Amino acid sequence: MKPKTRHKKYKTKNPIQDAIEYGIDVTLLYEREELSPTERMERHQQILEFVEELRKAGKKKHGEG
Amino acid sequence: MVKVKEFLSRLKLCNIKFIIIGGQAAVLQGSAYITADIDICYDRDKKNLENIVKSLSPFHPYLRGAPKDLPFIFDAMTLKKGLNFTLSTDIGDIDLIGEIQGVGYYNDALKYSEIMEIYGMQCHVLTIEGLIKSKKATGRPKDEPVTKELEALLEIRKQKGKNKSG
Repeated sequence: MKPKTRHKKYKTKNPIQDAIEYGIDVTLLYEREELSPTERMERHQQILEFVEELRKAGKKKHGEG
Repeated sequence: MVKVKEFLSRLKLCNIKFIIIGGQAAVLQGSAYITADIDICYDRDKKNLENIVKSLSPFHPYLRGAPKDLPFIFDAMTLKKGLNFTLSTDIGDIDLIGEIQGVGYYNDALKYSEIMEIYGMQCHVLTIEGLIKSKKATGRPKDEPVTKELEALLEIRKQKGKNKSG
């Protein structure tokens, strides 16, 4: 059986459906639609800070490798 | 991680003509994409190049990933001789883009931009259509997820518009 690949070209007539089938969580897009650009930027910065903390924790546990 | 507020304040203070593009523009447009740097498309006129140098020099810009002993002078002449620069600075990674693939130079990109208020500052940001055009032109596999998101966002906005008018 041919394995499914991430880059399979999904194409329906609806880009929202395409995104869902591709694996995008579109609920995040609807949520961000309600925010102002500054709020979107601040949300992004918070997530980025969290990701950086996770990276630091990973490095601390497993070394710089 | 780039200090976006500090960076934009600095550009505004020095009257830089710029458009926020790339991942941060996608974020401002409502994408859930995560990016650690900021890309701007800048006007390449002489005065703007001088102002960019004046605004960013205090943050010690250096070519990202270049050997530490590589001579690099951040001045208007260097900017004039080059086009796109990927820089590390004290306030994070900043990409200065002279030409956006699929869109063009600053004046072309203005046609694909809209003004948004960010931290109380009025900034030009590449539109969803402009972002899709540039992402498709580069054709990088890593841009495929964000392109899908942007196309979905465009459709969400269309449906919102229909609902409002209907």
